Amino acid sequence: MKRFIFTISIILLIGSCGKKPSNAISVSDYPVIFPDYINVTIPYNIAPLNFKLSGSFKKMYVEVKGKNILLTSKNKRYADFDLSQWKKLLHENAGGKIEITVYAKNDKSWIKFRPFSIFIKKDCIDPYLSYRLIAPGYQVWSSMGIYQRSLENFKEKEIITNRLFPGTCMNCHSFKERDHERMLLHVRGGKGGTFISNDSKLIKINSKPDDFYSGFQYPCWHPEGRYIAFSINQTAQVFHTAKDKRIEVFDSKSDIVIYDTNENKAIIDNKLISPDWFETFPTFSPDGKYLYFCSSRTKEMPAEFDKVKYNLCRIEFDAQEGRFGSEVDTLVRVVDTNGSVSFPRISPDGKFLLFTLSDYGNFSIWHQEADLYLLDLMTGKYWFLHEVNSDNTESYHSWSSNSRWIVFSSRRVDGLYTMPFFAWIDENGRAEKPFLLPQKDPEFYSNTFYSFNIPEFVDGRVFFSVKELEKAYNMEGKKVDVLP
Amino acid sequence: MKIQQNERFSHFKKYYKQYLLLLFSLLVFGYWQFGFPYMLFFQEPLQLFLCSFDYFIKSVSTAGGLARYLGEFFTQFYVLPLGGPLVLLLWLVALQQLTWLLFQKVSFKDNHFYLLSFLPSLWYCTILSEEFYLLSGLISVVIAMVGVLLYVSIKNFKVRSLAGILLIPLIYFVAGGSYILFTLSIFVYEVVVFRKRDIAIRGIFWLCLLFDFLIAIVLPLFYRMYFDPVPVLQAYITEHFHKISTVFPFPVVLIWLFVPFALIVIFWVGNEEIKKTKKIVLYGVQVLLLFLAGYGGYIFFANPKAEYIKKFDYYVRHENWEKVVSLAKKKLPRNGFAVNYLNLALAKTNQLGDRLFRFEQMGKVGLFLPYEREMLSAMLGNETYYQIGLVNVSQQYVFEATESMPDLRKSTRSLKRLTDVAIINGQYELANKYIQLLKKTPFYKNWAKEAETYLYHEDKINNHPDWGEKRRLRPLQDYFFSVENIDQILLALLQDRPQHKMAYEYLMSYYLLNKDITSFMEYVDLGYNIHYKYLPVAFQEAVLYVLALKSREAVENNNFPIEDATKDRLYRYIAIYTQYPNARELLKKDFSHTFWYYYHYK
Repeated sequence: MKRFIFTISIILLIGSCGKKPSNAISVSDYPVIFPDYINVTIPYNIAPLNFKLSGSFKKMYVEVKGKNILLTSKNKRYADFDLSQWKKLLHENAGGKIEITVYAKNDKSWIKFRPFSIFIKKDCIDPYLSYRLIAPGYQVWSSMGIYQRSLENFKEKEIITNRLFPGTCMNCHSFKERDHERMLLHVRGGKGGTFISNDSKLIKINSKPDDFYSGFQYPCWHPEGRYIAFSINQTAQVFHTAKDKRIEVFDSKSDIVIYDTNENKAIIDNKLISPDWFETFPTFSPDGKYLYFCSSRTKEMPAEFDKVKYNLCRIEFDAQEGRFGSEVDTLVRVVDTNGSVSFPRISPDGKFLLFTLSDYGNFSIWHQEADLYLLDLMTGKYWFLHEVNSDNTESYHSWSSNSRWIVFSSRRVDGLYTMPFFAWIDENGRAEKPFLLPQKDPEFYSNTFYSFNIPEFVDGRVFFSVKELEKAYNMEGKKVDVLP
Repeated sequence: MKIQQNERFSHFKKYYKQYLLLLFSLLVFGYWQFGFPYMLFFQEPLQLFLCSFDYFIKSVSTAGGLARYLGEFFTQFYVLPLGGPLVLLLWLVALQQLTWLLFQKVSFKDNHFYLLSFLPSLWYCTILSEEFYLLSGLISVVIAMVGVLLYVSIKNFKVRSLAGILLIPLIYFVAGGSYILFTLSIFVYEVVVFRKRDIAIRGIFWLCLLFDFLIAIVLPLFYRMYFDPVPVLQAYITEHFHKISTVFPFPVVLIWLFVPFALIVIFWVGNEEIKKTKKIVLYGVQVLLLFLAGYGGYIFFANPKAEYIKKFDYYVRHENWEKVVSLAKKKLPRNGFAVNYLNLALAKTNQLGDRLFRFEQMGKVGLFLPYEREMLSAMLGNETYYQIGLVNVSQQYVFEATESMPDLRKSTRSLKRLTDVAIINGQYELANKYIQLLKKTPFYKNWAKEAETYLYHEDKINNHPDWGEKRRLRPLQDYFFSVENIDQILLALLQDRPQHKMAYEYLMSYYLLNKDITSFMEYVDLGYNIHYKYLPVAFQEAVLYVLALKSREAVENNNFPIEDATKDRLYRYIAIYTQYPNARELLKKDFSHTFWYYYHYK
């Protein structure tokens, strides 16, 4: 019966999608394709990995073989797989692999490239990815917004954009443990403020207490949802004249505070607002008992911009009392790395902490040398993720709900426009070759003028109606008080 | 004689519409071709029209998107000689002809409103003199007029009602805000014209009109709630009339109101017997209105000063430096942008140090434009940085210009320059991204294809007259850029490239324009690396001035490469300067182009 279905499937698919080239000349090389999906590892619920072939070929024909199913591309310009067939293919082959054979026609004849594999994991990926789309510019921006993309198909929807609120900037979107109903983001300019969705309501707060030199910046929700840790940063930027660098973003002051959503108050602690240290990038452990953060000795800025290097630290946090412990531990030291840690993110199972390491500073997206490292929180050992890193920038990242997938931003494709890549991490912290977020038309990345900024997994579709967004935007944001 | 006159008169009477149309066409063509051609040349590269199916779909999937798409499509032709004026002529004549056809539809007798049919076109012609108003707005109005004509051509009331219900959303999605013109016009037609003709008032008649209005009111709200979240006003007006989407395009709204209003007037006045005296008044009023629209529009929207700067910009973009200098000779630039371009042209023609003070100067802004967080200063300002080899700064300015575009869109101009810089810096993947996009544009694809052949070919790039030169001029050391400290940047650049003549002359000019004699004298020696036979004249004058403050011997025995003629001029200058209380007036004739005069009197 299975064989019958298989045969019928092949006849139907081949019949509808063009004929397989006969007399193709086999070559021993893999095809050069974009995105590079050769031998990548993917979750079984990911959207079709459509790709295009590099080189001046007139036609292409792609065949995907899996257990009991054969899928072919129906597009001559790029490999374009049918969504339902693709889903079926991946479900059938979860835990195994599929083999892809690319045929291409040049002026004279068809070429058959060396088949390559795609490995399919049984561990699924969260259904949505949220990110900000913004041009990788200097001081001004035009169109920008926070979007969400279904990872199981190609649908992208906006969450909030500055088309609705012209001239504004929105950033630092963050979710409580990937919960699509618990989100926050900052809107700058106009009637901006910090938007928080809590208990199905969208509210706005004025997140700059009078005593603070800046408003709330980089956030992280406490797993219980009452508290949100924020850094406050006095940030500036300068511009390089030499060819390999563009922008230097630095803090001349930075501290960490905890925002109590129940009381609308900011909790401060001397250990996190030290004048001798720059503290930034707070992140709670999944059990909520520790706050991890990055910390560097203060320097004269911008003169000593390349001397600022961040350690990875942590401090105990008591969510019942809303208080910190007395000791600050340093987990990754500048003296060991001779580099600077940014964006610490802990896997939901609490085993690993993924961080970015660059030569100096904390704005790693403009550091070509920035790479991802994984810290084993049990042993304290950390290592360079060979399979994941490239010669170009790897920067922001986050974990999937099941701790098996990471998404990270990378500039490996063209050196400027940041794109989201996904990689599988096993229980021992070993990574597999990452893959780029698939798009319906692989030309998408060539045509876009936007960077994918702050990619975050989300467990469902975020939805704010225009009415809700406008109501929040127009409301008087309650000013946050400070609780010493 | 009289017979001849009568023949002429009857000939004119027979063909007056054609003559008037010809006159209007000549006026429009001449206005753009001879009045404001450079504004059109300036506008054209500030858009990125891609010939691809994806771009078409993306464009037409917003309200008014087709009008925008057509606007961009036709704006491309502005790059051709005569292209802009002919495109505008085409659409303005189309609007006039449609207006006239519509006027005829509501009038049963001799129509005396032919002149009035030129009013929307004439007004729009002047509106477009303001660079932020878009051709897509005119096309949007034309589409709405086609819709109105289609609607009034339908005889059957039921079919017409159905057509109205369908056409309102269709015109909204295709033409955007001009659906208001359509809605108002069909309302006027039904209430004033149709009702008058057919008398019968049925409930269904009012119901249909009410339904039309409901659709017109609810449609944009529905659109913004469920399709494209935009502010309320933008949902109604749409963004295809003015480059700044939040600007209320009042001049266009006047046209939306004029058409239905004119229909009422023509219907009431045009269907009466008109006596000769009334006719004269009628024609007189129309001529007056046309005059007011034409002249008033010109006063409101046209900007000859901006046209002058855009003329400079055109020749700078085409690197026709001699032309820039000759333009400045004809009419002295007194604007920061134009002076900046003039100084660049002087530098590129090796005249900056010699002729700096031959022209009106405006301080350091005449050499380096600061970035003012808007498109113009960034786009125009990038040219100097690029030519001097500060390609990363040029890149920064152009990127900022792109992000500061009032319509939030990209442009071929910035994409080309970003490609230049990416190639110079060896960032070939990035350059390729821009090149692939430019290859999709009809008028820049050849440039892009040529640029593509350079990617990854170091020798070829190094031998390229522009990219190779910039590679040899760009900085080697890294430092932070700040226009406030541009002298330090130039000094560092000269440290990297001691024979960088343009950097040297800009640095010295910067000190002279700032009257910073101390710094000038501190670094004037850097000119030895450039192996001048004589220092540029302005620099000679400055050196001699400083030496003269010490003694005549210092002037005579200096070791600088200075001509005797300059010394002689200095002595003559000093003689007048020191002896006459009205020296300023006396020196003006022969010395106003010297550093000394600038230093003392400006």
